[in-house]
Amino acid sequence: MDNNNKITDKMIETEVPIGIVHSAAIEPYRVRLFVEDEIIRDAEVTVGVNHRGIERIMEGLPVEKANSLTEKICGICSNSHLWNSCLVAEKGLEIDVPPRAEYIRIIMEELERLHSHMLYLAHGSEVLGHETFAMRLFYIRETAMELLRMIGGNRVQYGASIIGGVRPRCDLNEMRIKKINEGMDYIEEKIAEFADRFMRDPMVMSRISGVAAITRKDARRLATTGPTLRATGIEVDLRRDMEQYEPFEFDVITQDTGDVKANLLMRIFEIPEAVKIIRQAVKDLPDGKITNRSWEMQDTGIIRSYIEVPRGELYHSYSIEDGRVRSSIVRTPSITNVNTMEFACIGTHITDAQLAIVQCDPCFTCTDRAVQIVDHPLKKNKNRI
Amino acid sequence: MKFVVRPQHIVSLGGYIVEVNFPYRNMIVVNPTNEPIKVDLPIFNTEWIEEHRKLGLDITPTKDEDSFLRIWRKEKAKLEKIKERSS
Repeated sequence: MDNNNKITDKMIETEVPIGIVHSAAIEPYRVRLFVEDEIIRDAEVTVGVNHRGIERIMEGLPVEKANSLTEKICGICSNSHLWNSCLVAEKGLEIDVPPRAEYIRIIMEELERLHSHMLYLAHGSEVLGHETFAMRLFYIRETAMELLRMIGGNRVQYGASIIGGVRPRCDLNEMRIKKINEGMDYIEEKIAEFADRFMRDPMVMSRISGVAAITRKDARRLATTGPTLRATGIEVDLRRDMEQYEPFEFDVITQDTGDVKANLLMRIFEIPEAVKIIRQAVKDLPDGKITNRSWEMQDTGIIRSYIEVPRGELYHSYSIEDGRVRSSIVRTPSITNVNTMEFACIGTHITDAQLAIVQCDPCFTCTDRAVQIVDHPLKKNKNRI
Repeated sequence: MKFVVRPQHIVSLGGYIVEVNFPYRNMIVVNPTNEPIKVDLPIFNTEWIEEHRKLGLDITPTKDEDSFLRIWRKEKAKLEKIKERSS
């Protein structure tokens, strides 16, 4: 056709950069979106602006110190890191953890799941432009945060787990159990109200249905993990295989579509399951001591431990030599989920990019722990890690 | 996901390995050049090593039985020499 309406074969490609610092992004990361006619054709996520080199710092530290350092990896899932790091040592040194301590650890972990999922939902609502939902969720989340503070003494980095059990300050008495039960009643009621309102909102539903969908095949190929994997319909939850969760009954929630809606609903429906676990744990809390101190340090080979944390599979591994940590590795769920997030952007409209990113619940603080050695400005020829 | 290895820096990428069908425990990566180099993460297979060596990175994979610290120090010493020569 030789007229003014001719559609040329060659489209103009545009790059839309987001970040490193952006109002819609909580953490520092850089996204490059390669756009054709407002549709994202390719995406690139770059991390690496927040390195702390925690694994390298752990190298050679006494095991107890190294364990408490893992807590600093993330502010949201600090308990998960500390718990898993302690599990590595307990597995290697064959330490039996008292049942009461196991139950308290589960309570802490599930409380952390509650606050993490509510944070995710609030952030998702904020990106959707629904600040009322976000504020409402943050308000409900306060209950979980206060319960964590009550048990651990801090709103973040509670320091609950130690090798062989939990710290004495984390033991539960009748007053604490009553408060936990009251908190669970509140969260259950408010989340049910929120879920009802959320799912009946036609504007929100139209904005999230069918957006940035990931298929089961792609999720497997990209090693997606956690709720993001379960949102595609694949029923994988490490809690099913963990002996610590054996006494508890709970359902593994799945969704089918793998889109933003499925991801948001996954977290909404996982909240009552976490509440169910906490209720069982406080109801059947065993009597007895909370720490086993009768163990001896010895050298071990490489020990590995996998647990299910709010974002998916968390892997910690190290060996022990003269009471010190060697060859430490931490793999957080976000590392593979960031890849999924990159993939989810492709084919979506540019306005849905941030939704596609947020739906995978990435934690860049967890992801950015690689080692970087920089010269110390005050010490010549010395390196700071 | 991309990860930037800064010029004349050393990083270990053990926490970025998806260890299914991957024989190595850790990966010590040195960027001896004066330019930042972007690497693709996570690491799924051994082809990653050759692909990234072509970009100019020195990559030393370590296994379970290797002493990570010893190899790390060796690689770091090599990097220090490169730094001295270029400064």
